[in-house]
Amino acid sequence: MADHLLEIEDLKGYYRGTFGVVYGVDGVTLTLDSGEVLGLAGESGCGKSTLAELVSATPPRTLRYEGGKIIVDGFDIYHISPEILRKEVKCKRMAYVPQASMESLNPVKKISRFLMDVMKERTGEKPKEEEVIKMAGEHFKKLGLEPWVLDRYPFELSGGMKQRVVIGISTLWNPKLLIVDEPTSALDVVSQKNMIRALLDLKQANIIESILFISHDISTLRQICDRFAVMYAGKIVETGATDEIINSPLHPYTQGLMTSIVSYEPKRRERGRYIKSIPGEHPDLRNPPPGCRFHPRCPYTMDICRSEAPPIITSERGAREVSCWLYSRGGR
Amino acid sequence: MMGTVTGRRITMGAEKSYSRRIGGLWRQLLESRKFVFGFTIVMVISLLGIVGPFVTPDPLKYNWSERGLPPLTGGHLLGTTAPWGQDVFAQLCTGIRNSLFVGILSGSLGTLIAVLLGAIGAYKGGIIDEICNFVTNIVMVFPLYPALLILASAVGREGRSIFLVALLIALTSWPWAARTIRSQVLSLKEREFVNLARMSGMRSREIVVEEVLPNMLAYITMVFVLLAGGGMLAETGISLLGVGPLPQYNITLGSMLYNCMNNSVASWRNLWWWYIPPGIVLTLLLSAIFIMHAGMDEIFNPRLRRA
Amino acid sequence: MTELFSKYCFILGSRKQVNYLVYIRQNNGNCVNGLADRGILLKRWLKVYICVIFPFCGVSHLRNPFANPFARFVLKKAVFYGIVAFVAVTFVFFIPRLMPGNPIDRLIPRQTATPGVDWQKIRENMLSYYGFDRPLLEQYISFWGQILRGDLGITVTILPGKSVAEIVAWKLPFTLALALPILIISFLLGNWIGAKAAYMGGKLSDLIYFISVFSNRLPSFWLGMVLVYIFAVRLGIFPPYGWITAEIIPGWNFATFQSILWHYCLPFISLFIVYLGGWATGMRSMVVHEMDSGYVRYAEALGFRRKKVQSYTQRNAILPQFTGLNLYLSALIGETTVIEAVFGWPGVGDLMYRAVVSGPDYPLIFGSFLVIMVVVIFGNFLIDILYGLVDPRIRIGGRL
Repeated sequence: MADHLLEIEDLKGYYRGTFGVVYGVDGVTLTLDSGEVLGLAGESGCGKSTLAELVSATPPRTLRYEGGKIIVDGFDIYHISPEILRKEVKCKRMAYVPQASMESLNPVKKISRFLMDVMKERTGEKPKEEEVIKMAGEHFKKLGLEPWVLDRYPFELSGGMKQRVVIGISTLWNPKLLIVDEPTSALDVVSQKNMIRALLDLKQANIIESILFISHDISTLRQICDRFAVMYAGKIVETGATDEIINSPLHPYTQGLMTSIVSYEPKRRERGRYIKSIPGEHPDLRNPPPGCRFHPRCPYTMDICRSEAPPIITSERGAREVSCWLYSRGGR
Repeated sequence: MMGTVTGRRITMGAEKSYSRRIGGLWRQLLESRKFVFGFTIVMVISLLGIVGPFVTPDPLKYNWSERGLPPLTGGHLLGTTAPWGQDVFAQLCTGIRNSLFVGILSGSLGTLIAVLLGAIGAYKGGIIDEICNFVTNIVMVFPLYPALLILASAVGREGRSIFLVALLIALTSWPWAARTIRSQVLSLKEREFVNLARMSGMRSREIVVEEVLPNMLAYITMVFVLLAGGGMLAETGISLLGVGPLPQYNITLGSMLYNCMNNSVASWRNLWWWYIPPGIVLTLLLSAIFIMHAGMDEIFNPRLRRA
Repeated sequence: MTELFSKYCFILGSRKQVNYLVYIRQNNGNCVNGLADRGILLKRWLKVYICVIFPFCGVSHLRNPFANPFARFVLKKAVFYGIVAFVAVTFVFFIPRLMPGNPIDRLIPRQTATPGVDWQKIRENMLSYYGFDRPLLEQYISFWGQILRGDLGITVTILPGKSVAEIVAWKLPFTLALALPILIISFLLGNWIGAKAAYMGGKLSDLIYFISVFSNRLPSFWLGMVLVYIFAVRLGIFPPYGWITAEIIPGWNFATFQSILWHYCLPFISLFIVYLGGWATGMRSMVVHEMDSGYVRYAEALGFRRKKVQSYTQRNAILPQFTGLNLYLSALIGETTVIEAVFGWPGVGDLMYRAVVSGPDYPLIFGSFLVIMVVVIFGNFLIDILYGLVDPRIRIGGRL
């Protein structure tokens, strides 16, 4: 097997606080190859952002890493010294664009000053202002930002501009892996298209090699991702190539997701004439259901689903993975 | 996203009656360690103040033969005062009762004014909001003790009863509370259930009483608790200066300090048991109120839950 | 210079100055008459007010102050505080007029014990100052004229016949010397302690938090009494009362300053501990809240060193503390009043206290209250401007 750029093995991350313990991410295994765009889909509260925070090693105070391995380009993130993590991995090999990246800029600093701080922190010496502005200006132009943006405070920019600034700053050192968390959720349709185009342009210009794209919007995922994974209640339920999953979803949850999309394509419209929703609610992760976490809402529940968690079943070519008891004896 | 998984929401909606809602709030509050801790201390001290005066000797009784005794002598738990020989423990209990009374009274009056000016102004919006906000900002600039001094001195020696002093304290300490209530109402106003109620044709008054106020109940209680504590502190302060409720008739924690300070015998002979207990009790009470408030904040404000 | 200093130092005890000052006051009282003169005075004061405010707006926009958003902010605040001053003066005007009866008649008969004072002249002066027989509007306008001229009336109790403005002017530096250092030092030190406690986390941080909460809830005046007991009575390190030891003759010498400093310590410490706790508590909560915010986590994701992340957090957490500074200034001036009464530190608060106790001496109370209000208003205004400079959202304008 070729060396993966990102390998996640049985990752566990729990929130601990006065509210008890929330099993945010409970045993997730995922791989990402170089040059690939991997999507991560799922509804709100299923653990996508938690996963992104754990992979980028910037969890909030209540989130704790509880086990498993995350290997980025050969570096095991949670088992190396923080200094190496800071110098080698962050920004150089992996960059993170958080959800609601409008809030990610320091409100009392101009963008140019923030950039100088970033430069100083990463290279250890104070850079010259003109050089920074010149370099940043060229880089930002690729994202469609004018040079005057650098001279502004964050509150003077619009949401889309701020997001592009954050993406620009994250990609200054040409990281191999870019993790974007819900970049299009707060934007209108035209800006969404421009954002996706900007990301693809970055990839094409070889500034970034691969993207981990997290979104709950499957139509957006479809435009940009080669492969995507579906997450539910802290676990991955299905992984595969985009078109294959959308055309023939295997896991009952994925099937439910696909039928709940309004589509303009004639082929899909025939199949899903009525928009069906999945009955029930997302489980409270303080007390997840035993066995398969989807079984309370699944139309094909069997006895074994209630007691044992299903294993990950890989298809013969290794391109598809499902975590469901329906496919345990002889798969597709 | 975190909120849907871990949120401990206060259930909203007009189906629940007020009494059930209060019961629900109370049960939630009892889960907070900080609240229980603070509340217990407040209750213990209040008990001392309520039951104490019935079981201790008369605090105003002069006893010339036993003046200036240190604690635990002659049957006096905390000793006696200097020129008049009054039992300090009895004074402490009566003082707690009167101070609590002043605090609660000024807290309720202050909360009432704050709710009127903060909630109604914020809810109506427009010019009324501007006026209320303006008035709040103006009164907020006035410093508390000098304003109290002027008002109390203007009232004169004859008129200073506990009720009047509580009213004066309420009149000078409401602005901060009005501002917090206003910001809370403003944030509630934007919530969907209020818009829904408005669109379904409920009148403004109904909306305020049925939808907005129940969610504000928790907040108003928190504000009341802090104002009551502040009122007790303010009363002690102006009693110390001599313009509090008349010391001959009402003993409060502040009047104990006042009598002690104005008594040269006391400062010469260092009657520490006279002025240290009231201060300790006041500090304990205020700290307990603060911890109670922090506990309530944790319960009613899910953002503040800490790891 | 020494002579002037000694003169002021003995002012409280000396009666020799009284008749001389009553004579001066009478002459001054006859100098300015009529509404026209008062109009000129008002214009002069407005000019002074505007000339003080405008430099804060930025010199380049003097012509068009409405273009610069910071100038707009400053003007808005100036108008607001002007209105507060107006309300304060109106408040002070109406209080004696709303009391039943004539305050002068109630006040003077109690003071007839002091010898060497011409009570008839004082009574006439006070009547002309208050003017109870004139119509209300004329009283109001003449009151404004007197205020702007700096004439706050004559005191009756402490030094009968003495001008209130003079007494207050002498006492004001003492109050400011106590209040301003406490405000500034407790703000800086308290916020620093709060931030450090927030970063440390763990048991020590919780301990610091509880100590801060506890010390903030201490009544400062009571703490003063306790400190007097421990340090002055038992240990004898600091003196318990007053501002200077009685035996020392005040002058510009080391003994004076040492004595003043020694007397300064206990009131300073008792207020300082309380306010230090307040700032530490608030800052700790703010920093803990900011540590979870988006830009801090993003800075960590970019690989910032810990010190830089902390600097980002602090810089944003301290902004709301500035609005608290406003409230704390008003509260501090108020508590300084009570502390001065406890310690006998001769400030404006102690003056008010003595006026209330021996009297009440209404001109003195109202005069000192007005001066306190002026100090509070000016302080609040400066703090608002400082906040506007520190927060770029106000300085540059745009959507807040």
